[in-house]
Amino acid sequence: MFRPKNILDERQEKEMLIIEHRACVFMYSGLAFDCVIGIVTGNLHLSFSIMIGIFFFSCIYIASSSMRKGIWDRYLRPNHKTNLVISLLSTGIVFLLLIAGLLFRIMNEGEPIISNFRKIFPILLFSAFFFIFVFALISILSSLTIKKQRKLDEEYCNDK
Amino acid sequence: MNKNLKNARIEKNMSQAELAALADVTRQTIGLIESGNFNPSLHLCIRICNVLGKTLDQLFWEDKNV
Repeated sequence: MFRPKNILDERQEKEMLIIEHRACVFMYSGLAFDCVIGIVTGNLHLSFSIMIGIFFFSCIYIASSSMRKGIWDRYLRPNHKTNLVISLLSTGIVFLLLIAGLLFRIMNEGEPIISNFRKIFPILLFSAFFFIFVFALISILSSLTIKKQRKLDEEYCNDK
Repeated sequence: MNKNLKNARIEKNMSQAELAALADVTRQTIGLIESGNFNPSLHLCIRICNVLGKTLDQLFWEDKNV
């Protein structure tokens, strides 16, 4: 089975595992708390909101902590090519999800798909903006990570 | 602080970046090993020894009696 090469060295891998461990502990305890809230209050909307909040907080924590350590990803280097590929992939996934949602709604309403064809244009427009947003965000974050890597290199390295 | 590693590197007229590239780690990792802030695995120690042409004893053994 094809497995991409891990580009982190053992020190970075260790730091990454610590970050992931903390995020995992937070997610497990957060989800346990969410289950309790859901059972006690019976409010599924509140429970779902807490779950989404935990997920986003964990994502932000992992991204910011690894960036602080000058780590971008295990398999991808922070450059324009990978940023473009990741942006295109995420846009593709969002586009497919939105199309699936639209088709599901149309079929539930029992309307013919052809007459609702123009509803695809807002999705196309949103996908285009989503791509620009994701590409800009990843580009900014990757350039910040590269800057941090250089700063850490200067901070810890002494050639003499 | 790992003075043996630093001395061996300087003896070879090598920068931290060059040693890091040959040992397949980041420059920061070499800096942290030299300053004693990171304990490398045996696998990495052997790689560094091979690059610098030294034995594990010469680079990583700390003689407490000296």
